[in-house]
This record gives sequence, structure tokens and C-alpha cells, in this order.
Amino acid sequence: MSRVFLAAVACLVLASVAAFAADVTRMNVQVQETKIRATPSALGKIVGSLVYGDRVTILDQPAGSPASWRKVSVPGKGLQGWVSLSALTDKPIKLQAGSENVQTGASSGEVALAGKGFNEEVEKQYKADGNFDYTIVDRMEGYNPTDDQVAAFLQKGGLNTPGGAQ
Amino acid sequence: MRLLKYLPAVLAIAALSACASMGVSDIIAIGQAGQKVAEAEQTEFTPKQEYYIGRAVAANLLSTRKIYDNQKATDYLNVLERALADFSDRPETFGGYHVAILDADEINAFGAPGGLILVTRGLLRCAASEDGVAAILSHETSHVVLKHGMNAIKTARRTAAFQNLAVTTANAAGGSDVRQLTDIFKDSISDITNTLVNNGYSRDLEYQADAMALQIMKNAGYDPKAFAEMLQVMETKFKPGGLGFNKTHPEPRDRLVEVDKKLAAMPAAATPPQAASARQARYQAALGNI
Repeated sequence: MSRVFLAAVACLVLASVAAFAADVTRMNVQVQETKIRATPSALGKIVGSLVYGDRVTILDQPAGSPASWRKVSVPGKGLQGWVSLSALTDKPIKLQAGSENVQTGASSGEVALAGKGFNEEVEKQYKADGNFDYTIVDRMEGYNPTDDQVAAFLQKGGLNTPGGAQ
Repeated sequence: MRLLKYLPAVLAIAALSACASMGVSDIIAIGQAGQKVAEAEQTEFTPKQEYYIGRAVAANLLSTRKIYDNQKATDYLNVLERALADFSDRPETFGGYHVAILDADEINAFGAPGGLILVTRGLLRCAASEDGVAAILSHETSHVVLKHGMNAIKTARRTAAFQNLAVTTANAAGGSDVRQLTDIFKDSISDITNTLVNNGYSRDLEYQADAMALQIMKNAGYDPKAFAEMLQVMETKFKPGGLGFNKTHPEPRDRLVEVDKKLAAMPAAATPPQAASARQARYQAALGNI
């Protein structure tokens, strides 16, 4: 009986240590949307998408990897690839319950924490106070050239390819 | 029976283990739901907060400025901007980089936090080539990368914001909280727009943005010398005591001195003739009549 008990305690302690260790290798997506790419390049083949608050596991970085990219896997999705470091943070992401237009936390598994902040609610109040029109700002955010357009633009202009994408 | 004796210890370890697998925010949310709790001190704005600030700065600037609604020119600038951002130190912001053209003869551009870039027709006319336009956009991109706009928020305001943001509730922020935050937000936007429109960044920050722009151009394969050529054109149009960039930027010839020092340390770019003519053709097609 006592052996079983000690084994159980040992397992719990190990699990606890492992969980702490695992946190070191996790990062959160801090941008609205980002792509997982087959190569560490802004134009690398897209193998998946991530949204704000999604959590990724940082894998061992192969020798010679660019410092500005991280090789990651996505827990529970069987996805693996490269994400730009600029899209990731090691800080916890606070996800807002409710009507925020970037609410995407369901997939992350994080418990939603309704954090205050400069968010959609504050923007709504600000718009109303100053009678500001965001039509052009919203339109600007729709200007999103595709990877193919950018790749063709660079290639025809005899320019470089970011990060060695193929 | 012996197990019962150890049950509290087992439960405590199990609880610790469960906690360890969660993030700090999870624990705060579960353990102190509904209460005001202090979180780890925030010392800089997150990309998401920067995004909402940038949108407001852009909306503010656009409230008194008209857009030049030319799809071909706008599309061209947005492909070029995305290409340049990919070669910067910060290729991804919360909402991405986007460019619109302001319908003004004035020579000016604004890089709002998060990557909303507004550039006047007057400034675009100072560029004689795609490389020159790349110089303009690289400079604005650098202000965004270096978070110069965000850093224009006064220290007192920043402190107030972080103190306010450090206290969170597990329920949606109540009306008075939104009111208070909106007031801090409004003041932050004023700090940035005042800097962009009236006071300008410090000479040092402009030189930093120029230096980073040269690097972005070089990384992308553009000729950084086009930056100096663009400044030379701006110098001919510079009006001491004037508005726009006359007021908010160091005199172009002073910037040229610094830019020339950096260029001297860079290898000369060799653009193949075919690439040069392809760039010039698309530049003419998109911005020839700007």
C-alpha cells in the first residue's frame, strides 16, 4: 500500500515539475492572425494558421535557424512548422469574454479572463466621444496582398526573397 | 486507513500539480474571479493595445485629411510595404502594415502605431523611382518597428495606464472602468498625434528611423542611395518655418549628412538592368501621375 502511495506521490511531483518545465517551451500568439510556414521565411509555404491567444510549443531549433523565427508545434492539432518570433510572446495572453472582434480564445484552451485594456469597448467609447469615423481605417486593414503577389513583386523587381523561402 | 492519513498531502500535491500546468492568468481567473487582483506589473503596451491606439491615431489624422482614392497606386504601395516589412525586424504587428495615400500637396507621412501608414501625394512626388518610394515607406515602417509613436505617450500617462490596466476584474469591465480607460486612451492619442503633426520626433529618433530604413532597403535588395536622392529632392522643397515635414523633421540636408555616413559603410547596390526597368515600369504605371 505504502509503495503504491509513494509511487503516486512521485508521479504527481514529476508531473508538476514537467508541467513547469513545459511552460518554458510554450509561447502565445500576440497578433490577430499569423501563419505557420514550412520554412522560416515570410513567404514560406503556409501549413496552418494561428490566431490571437493560441498557444504553441517551441521545438528544438535546428542548427543555423534564423533568430527571428521559431519552430513550433500546435498542441492537439498535429501541426508543425515555423512562426515569426514577432508574432509570439512568452507573456500570458488575457482573453476577453464577450464581444471583442478578435476573440479567438476558444481554441487556445486558456481560461478566458476578461481583462480590461485598450480594446474594442474603449474604441467604441472613444469613437462616440469624438465622433470619429473609422471607415478609412477599416478599409486600410483590408489592404492585404497575398504571398503570391508579394513573391511575384519581389521576383520581377529583381529583389531578394525573405529568409530563403522556396 | 493509512492512505487517509496522507490524503491532505496528496490533495495538496495534486492541486500544486494542476496549478503548475496552468498559466498565471488562468490561476488569477479561476482563483479570484470577480475580485480586483494585481497582476504582474505591465511595463510596456502589448501589440494589441498598440493596435487600438494606432487605429485611433489614424482615425484622428483622417478626420481632417482626405484620402487619394486611387486603387492602382494604393495596391502598389501595399504590396511594396508588405515586401519591406518582411525584411524588417518586426514583420508582424497585431493588425499588420497597411498604407493609404493622403490627397495633399504637402510633403508629409505618418506612421501610426501598429503599422497604419499615411503618406501624402506631395511626398510621393519626391521619389523618382520605386527605390525612392521604398525609402519613404521604409522610414515610416522603421518608426513603427521602433515604436516611436508609442514612446511619444507621456510618462505620466503611461504610468496611469499601467496602474489602471494592472487591476483587472474577471467580469467585463464596468461602465466607469471603460470611461476612465477611455480618458487615458484619449490623452495617449493626443500625445501621439501632437508629436506626429506638431512637434515631431527628436532629431535622434528621425536619424534612427533613417538608419533602419537604409538597412531595410538593403535587406530587400533596393538601392539605399535612393534614400539620399529622395532627401535631395526634399531639400529643394524645404521651407524653413513651413508646415508639415518642414516643422516636424530635421532639415533634409542635416539628414543627408547622417545618411551619407551610413551609405559610405554599405556596399554599392548593383541592380540588374532588367530588374531596374521592371521596377521603373511598374512605378510609372502606379505613381507616374501622382
